[in-house]
Amino acid sequence: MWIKNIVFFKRLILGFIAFAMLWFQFSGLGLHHVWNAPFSFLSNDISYFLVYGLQLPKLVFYNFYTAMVFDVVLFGSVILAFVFSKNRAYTIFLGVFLLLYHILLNSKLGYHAHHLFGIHFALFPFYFKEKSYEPALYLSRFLICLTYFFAGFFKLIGKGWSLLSSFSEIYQNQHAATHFFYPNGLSIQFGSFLQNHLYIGWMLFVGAMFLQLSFVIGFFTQKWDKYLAFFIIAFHLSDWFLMNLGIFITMTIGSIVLFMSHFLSKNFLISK
Amino acid sequence: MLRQFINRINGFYKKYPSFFYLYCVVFLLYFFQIITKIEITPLGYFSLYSQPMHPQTAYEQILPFNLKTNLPINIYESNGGAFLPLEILPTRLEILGNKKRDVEIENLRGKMGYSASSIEIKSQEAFKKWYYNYCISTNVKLPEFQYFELRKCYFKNGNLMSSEPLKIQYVD
Repeated sequence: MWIKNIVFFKRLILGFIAFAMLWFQFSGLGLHHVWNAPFSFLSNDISYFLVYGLQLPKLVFYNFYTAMVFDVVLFGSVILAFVFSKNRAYTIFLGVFLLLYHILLNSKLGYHAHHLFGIHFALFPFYFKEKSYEPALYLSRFLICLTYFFAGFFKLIGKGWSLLSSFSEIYQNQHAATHFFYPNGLSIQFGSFLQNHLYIGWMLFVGAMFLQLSFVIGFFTQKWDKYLAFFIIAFHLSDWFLMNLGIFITMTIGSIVLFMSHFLSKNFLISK
Repeated sequence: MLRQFINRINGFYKKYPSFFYLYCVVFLLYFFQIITKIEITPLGYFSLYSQPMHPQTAYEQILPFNLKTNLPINIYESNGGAFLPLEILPTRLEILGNKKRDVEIENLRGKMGYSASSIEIKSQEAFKKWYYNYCISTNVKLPEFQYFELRKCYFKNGNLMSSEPLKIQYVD
């Protein structure tokens, strides 16, 4: 029975990934959009060194068409993994292509963006056989909890909370240009509201920080996983509405891992 | 409680020895990152704006600019979430282009088979041309190229206070 559930969750995750990939293509984030961008950013990361060491960027970014072929293969591999969801080989193939896409896109944006990690965490358990499924899912959810907890932890030690007007300033900064282009938009009205009610902004900031810090619970028990999953959704939706960070889908996929962990925990031994 | 925790780890090791070592490698990787302050894992992601932000006289953003109308170009009309790379790319050009080049590191990168520099362009004009075409591909409405410029814009309460051309020190 629980294997059937796993196939359902896997297809749910793959469905989200397919949607995210289509959204990325529409948003000018396909490799064929950025293949000739003037950056070759490596970041301080072993995976970049490996990919560049294998000369893969030269192959993929050879011209527009090679980059386009990569994008088509990437999307095709999502479809294959979805259709043949009981076959691990297609999922591993997809995982490798997603990792390559992540690295190549970052190097062409000149920026080490982490939001695609949600996809890697969510796909990780499906690379293993059924008998190893339990520890793989557990590691995956642990890494998700670690990511959010540390985000809250850095907010705590960064002391952004120590200044009442900080979030109102952050909001003005984030929306500086959108307020110019859309002077009657909802965001400028909310910005004025925050300027007049600084404590509301402060509460939003501190609330987000505590939301992230609460992921420490996930290190010790799976009992709260469904709440943590809702926290992820709440955090990214508010990030989208408040901070205009539209590419939240790829991290929000992590919430499915926690829902999955919650629903399947009865079959698992680690949590007991 | 500590004994219970150790027992659980011990039980896990006996049941999944290979996974136990995988866990160790992953945790060592995270620990290594904290010590060396490098970026392998997504630790600290979403911790943007962790520091307190004090009131500003104006808020700056690098935007494409229409010299004909003397106004910034609306990148938020672009397809889907394309405004994010349109915001990020000139900012990264400014950061990477104004970072003093470390010749030794660049030589080492070159020897290892990578591009020697983080920026593969010889002039700011080349970036401008590329960015112009990227804006078109993401459906941003643009003036003719001769009226197009990347400028650092300063905003306050929804008004454009001033703007200045983007200056890159180490590319040209």
